[in-house]
Amino acid sequence: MTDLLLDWIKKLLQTSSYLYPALLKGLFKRPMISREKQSGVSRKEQLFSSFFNQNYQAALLLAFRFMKDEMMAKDMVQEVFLSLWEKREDLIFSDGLRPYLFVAVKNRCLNELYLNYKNIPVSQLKESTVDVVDEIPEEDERLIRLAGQISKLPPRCREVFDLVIFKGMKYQEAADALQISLNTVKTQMRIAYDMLRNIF
Amino acid sequence: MEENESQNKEIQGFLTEHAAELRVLSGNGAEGAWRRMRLGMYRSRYRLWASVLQYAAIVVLAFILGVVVTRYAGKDVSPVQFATVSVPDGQMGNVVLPDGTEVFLNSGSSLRYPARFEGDRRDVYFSGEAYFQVKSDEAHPFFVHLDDYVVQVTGTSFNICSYPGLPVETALVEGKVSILDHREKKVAELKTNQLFRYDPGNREMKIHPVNTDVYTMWKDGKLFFDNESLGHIAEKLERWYHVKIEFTDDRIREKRLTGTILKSKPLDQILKILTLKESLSYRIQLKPEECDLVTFSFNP
Repeated sequence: MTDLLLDWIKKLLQTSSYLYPALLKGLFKRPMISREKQSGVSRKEQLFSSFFNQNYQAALLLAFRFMKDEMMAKDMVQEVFLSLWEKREDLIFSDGLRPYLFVAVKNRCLNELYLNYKNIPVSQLKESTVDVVDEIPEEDERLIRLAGQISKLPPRCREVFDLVIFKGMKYQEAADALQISLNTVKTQMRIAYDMLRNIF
Repeated sequence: MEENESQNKEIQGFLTEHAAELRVLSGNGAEGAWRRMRLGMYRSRYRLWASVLQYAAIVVLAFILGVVVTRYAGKDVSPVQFATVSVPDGQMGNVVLPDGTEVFLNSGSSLRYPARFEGDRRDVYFSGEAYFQVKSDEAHPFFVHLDDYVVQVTGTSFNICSYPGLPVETALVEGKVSILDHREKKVAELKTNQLFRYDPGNREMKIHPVNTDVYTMWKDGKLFFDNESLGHIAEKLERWYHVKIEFTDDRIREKRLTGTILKSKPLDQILKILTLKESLSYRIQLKPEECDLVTFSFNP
């Protein structure tokens, strides 16, 4: 019986011998207990946070143009930002990182599309000719600002707005759907336009 | 106001054109996304710890599994089946046991043994007469359980004669055996060419040196008796020829004879030889449904 036990121990040591280097590599590459401050947020995280907030929507827009799907676009962007965070030792989270961000998003999207579809639809390939520039194109900025305003629309107004713009309903259809008068719909839309006007 | 109206139309147009993108953007603000991002960030920090723990857990589990497997390896959970070989009167048989032990059985014997020898011993249950050639295995002693006692061996050749009512005899041809009582306490030890004889009637035990050929000759089809009572011989004949033997006078039973007969010879030839020597006569009554009856009587 002890022979069998010894055999087992030998086998374990053998398998752990190639686990071991992986463990060591991981252990030395990253500190297990973070050197970051326990209370409050570290400098790095703060910078990352700003970088994220400033560029998230632009990245999402780009990803959406590739993936044509909201969920997938969100996943792609999340993954890219996460990978940036994991490389934080080697990166500086400032405006200068933006082009890198967009290239990363584009590449990840193309990768994903290629893996799933083998042939990328031409319409999606078109986006690959988009030049990655330091600044976000003005039109996109406008879109982002508009979106921001839209999310700030009062609830009633937002309801109507969603049906009319996003669902493409006619005023009357929207009125019927929400069980309100046509006039209410018109009024709400006017409020919406007023709030969005100055962005144009 | 009118300006607004026309402008509204433009706005509406633009909005509708980019509806999909606007919808996605307005539904996914940076704040909500950041909260989700934070979770992902922290998760990656502990990912290393988690993988270390995973490895540790795997190692521990593998170790436990290993211990369990080695403890139960080779142990069959199913209950062992026993087989019984019975040799009727008038025949001989032989059997090879799961460990390679050979047993030659004389008429009127039965041997009960397991389909598989488990654990650190080998046990069989026997009555009758048999010649055992036990496969040598020091680690697994062989036990023959008889009605009256137990014979323990490691790897030897010996003969056991244990018919009900008769003295139980164990003759050792080669090797070493121990005689144990029912509680498996050692009672005697036999050396080569020794016979152990136990008389259940008076509970007497004896060991003598013998010529073991005498006791194993039945294997070769010879019946040997050395100053044995006709009664005893008759019992052996009964078993071998599947007959019933009776005596008109008990004195006949007590007559002592010495000799060897070949079992292959027909019964009446043997009876002739026996009676000639002792001036006896015999009579055979054929009984179709049962054993034939042989009756010995004094010569008139």
